[in-house]
Amino acid sequence: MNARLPLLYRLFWVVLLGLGWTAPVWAADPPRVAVVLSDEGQPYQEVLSGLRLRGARMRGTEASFHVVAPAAVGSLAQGGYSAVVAVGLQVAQALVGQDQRLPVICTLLPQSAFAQLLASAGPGASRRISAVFIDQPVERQLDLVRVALPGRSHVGVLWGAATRRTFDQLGAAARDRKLRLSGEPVASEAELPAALMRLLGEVQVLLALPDTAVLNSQTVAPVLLGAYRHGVPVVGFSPAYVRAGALLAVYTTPEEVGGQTADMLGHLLDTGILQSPQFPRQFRVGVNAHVGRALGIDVAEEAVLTERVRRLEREP
Amino acid sequence: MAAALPAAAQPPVSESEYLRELPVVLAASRLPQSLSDAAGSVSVIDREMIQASGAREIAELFRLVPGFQVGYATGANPVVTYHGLSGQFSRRMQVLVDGRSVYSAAYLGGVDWNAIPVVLEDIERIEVFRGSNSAAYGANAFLGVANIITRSPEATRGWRASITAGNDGISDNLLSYSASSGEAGLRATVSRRRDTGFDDIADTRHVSLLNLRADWRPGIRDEFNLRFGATDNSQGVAYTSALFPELTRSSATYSLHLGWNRTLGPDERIGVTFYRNQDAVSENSTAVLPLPPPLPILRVPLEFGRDSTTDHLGLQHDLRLGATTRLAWGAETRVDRVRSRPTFGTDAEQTTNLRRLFASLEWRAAPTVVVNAGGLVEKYSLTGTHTAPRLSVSWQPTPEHTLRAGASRAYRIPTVYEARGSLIYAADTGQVIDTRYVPPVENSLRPERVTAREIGYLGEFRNVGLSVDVRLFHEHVRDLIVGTVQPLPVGSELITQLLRAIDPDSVVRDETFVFANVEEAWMRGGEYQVRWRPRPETLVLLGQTFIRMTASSSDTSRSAPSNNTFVLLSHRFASGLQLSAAHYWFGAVQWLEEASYLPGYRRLDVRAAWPVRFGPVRAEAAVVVQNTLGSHAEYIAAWRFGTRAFATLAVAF
Repeated sequence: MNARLPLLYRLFWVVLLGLGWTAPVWAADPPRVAVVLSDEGQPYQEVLSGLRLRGARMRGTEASFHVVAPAAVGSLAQGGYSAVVAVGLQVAQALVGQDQRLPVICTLLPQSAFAQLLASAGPGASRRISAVFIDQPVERQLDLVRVALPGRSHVGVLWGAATRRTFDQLGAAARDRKLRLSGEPVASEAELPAALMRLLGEVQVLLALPDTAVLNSQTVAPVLLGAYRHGVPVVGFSPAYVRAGALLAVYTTPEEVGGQTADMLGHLLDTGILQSPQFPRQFRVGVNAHVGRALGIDVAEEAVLTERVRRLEREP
Repeated sequence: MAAALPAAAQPPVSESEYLRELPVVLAASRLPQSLSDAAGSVSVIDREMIQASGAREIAELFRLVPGFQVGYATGANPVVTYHGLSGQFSRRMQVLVDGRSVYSAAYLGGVDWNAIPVVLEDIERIEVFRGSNSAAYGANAFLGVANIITRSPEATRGWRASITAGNDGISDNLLSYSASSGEAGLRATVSRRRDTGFDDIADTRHVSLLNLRADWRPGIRDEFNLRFGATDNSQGVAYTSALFPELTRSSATYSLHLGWNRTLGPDERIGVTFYRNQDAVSENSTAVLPLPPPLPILRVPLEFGRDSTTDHLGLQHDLRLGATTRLAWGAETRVDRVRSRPTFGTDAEQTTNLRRLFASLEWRAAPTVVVNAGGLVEKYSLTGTHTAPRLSVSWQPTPEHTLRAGASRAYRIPTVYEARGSLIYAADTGQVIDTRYVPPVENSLRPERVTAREIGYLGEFRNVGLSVDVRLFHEHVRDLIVGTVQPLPVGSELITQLLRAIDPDSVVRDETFVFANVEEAWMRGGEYQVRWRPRPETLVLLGQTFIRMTASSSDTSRSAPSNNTFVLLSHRFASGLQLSAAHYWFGAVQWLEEASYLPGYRRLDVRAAWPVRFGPVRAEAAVVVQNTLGSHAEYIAAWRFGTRAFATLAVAF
């Protein structure tokens, strides 16, 4: 034993050093990935840090991320990039409009916007373009209603031209979950108050949909106040909604979206296959306990609700 | 769902909807406490109850709150109080409209329900705090507090009009218009109400009002509110006799209420409020006294004119101190100016100042325990400084059950009328005819003081739509200010005797009154309310009150009925028809001052309403029959309230 130890030691060092010296030789250059941000703001930076933190590998080699200004997207083809990550709708529109060969992963944009974008990009675009959405599947939102507010089975939504499809999807998902869904169409802000009052008179939960013509930072106050006065809890779609006075929201942070984007990118670099567009896998539930208390609704803690929704999704 | 929207070339929803900050609309500091966390028993009169009750004016709604009693001093003059201790000027309860106290120095420190510039149709709800709470609501929140919360212009958008007609000369109209955009809302309401009051007495009432409300939210943090109200009303003063002719009291009131609120964070808010209430009351006439010859005919000018202005400036800061504690603190200053020659013998303004510093703390000591502590330091120019503390502990072992124990002390500061006023009728010759009351020795009145202890239970059984609220109370009122009899000044007996000989029913008395802190009263008992909604379209409400009142005088000890009961049933049928009935059992009562000892009575009100829709126009026809069981006395035994029926047609578009 004693005699063999030094030999093992020597072997160990030889292998280690050999690997160390030779690795750069048998790995190709690290793949370069262009990241284009629609905005300099914090959420976009968080996507970037989510990308970097998770990282993407091509056959074991870490990809390097290079932030490219939106103005320079025209010259991406000359940058030697393997793929492009477009963060936000604005650069996604700019990139999809271009005729270029690079695979593009759009991220942090809503599913409806991506669908519209893809439709305008013409046939074949979906082979080259995919996405990780910022919004949650309607099923998940309804599952949250089920686990957080049992006994409240009548859900209401205000929908406009931008959310009409979401409303249809909700209808199907609600039927599967034995929930009742009522909708009020709102074409403009002027129609909102009357529609809201009609809806609040009958439903037990109000599900907020992102539609600037219906719900925006100006109209959120009357909607939240009106719902509160009717004792109707609101389920929002962002943490800001919960802070503003919605009882609940299910959302994904930009960093988590960035992490999932890195995974999709890694798959692409590793296998050459671009996965289909994805809703966020990771999500969390926000609860405004003060609003719950004021409404007299006993709501479980955020972590508990998140776990219960996850469990529901895993069920066949 | 029916209307199809144009499949417009709508710009797609971008991620910014998911990322943007929003104004904190329901900040924790602004949210009302849930009933289970509240420092006392709170009853809410909501829109459904307002409609189902068949009420025509705000005061009537308090019949649906346990512990409250409603009476009409005349057909034109409602009085509301909690646990007795009220004559026709109810001074021991705080009434707020969106936080503005309607306290009127010109109304002898009482609540003039005809001068509240709000129509029932514009009320979102009334939050009634049963029990004293001056730590949170200031002086006058002596026995109870009612905060009338008006609907936002968003909720009443468009045009609304209604017309009501019925017996007893009932003729009411309403016209209102509201508009709102995201950041601003505006409403204007005008209304007129008329009726001829009780049978056989001159108490016809005309009330006109104008109400304006404007809200402006320029950003996500700030909110500005402007509210303006004006009322103009006249009513027959039924207290007449051969000597005293029919009198009409007219009053005009204005109120301007400005507010600014800034949200400093999810749990912090600061607000500044200013309001001015301006009231002018006039009651002018001349009594002609035909003394037997050779004495001259005496003419007595009857003037009860009074003007008052109240200016109020308040600041409130709500914030969270750590995870378990919320604090609301603030300061207020109020200046009252009253001018009334007949009362003060001078045209000079009587000015009083009130300053308050208050704080209330909600501490969630454990997940199931909430401690509410509050205090108020008040400095009043007529009575000096006093401190009013309040403490309650709630224990919620399960979400369904909450037990609460609390104690508080509150003060009612004397009004300038009680402290300095007098009422002396003199003929134009200078001859004193009647000395109704004379002022006490300067600065001799102390504030009234109440010490209250209570045990409360709140049961909320949401799965069966049932809530139960019980309050057991022991209230001890000291230094109660009442008019005490004094012999008349020497020299007036002769004329008094003469006048009484001419008119035995004369209201001229051979004695006078002076206000003094002479009485003490104890109210012990229990009250409860049950609210049950078996189905969304059905509401059942039941309330009962039992009070044992003891006081230094037998009148005062009878000023609250020993028991009251109400039941309200309301149902909306699938056809849209809404039927409701309210049945009340009132115990025997004697309101203070001139009132009679009245036997108990029952009252049944019924309402049927039929809503219809013609395209964008929503209409409703409603019929209300009040007091279907026959007539009863509300205040003075001879003045009876009979059956009243009216129909309303309302449209909105």
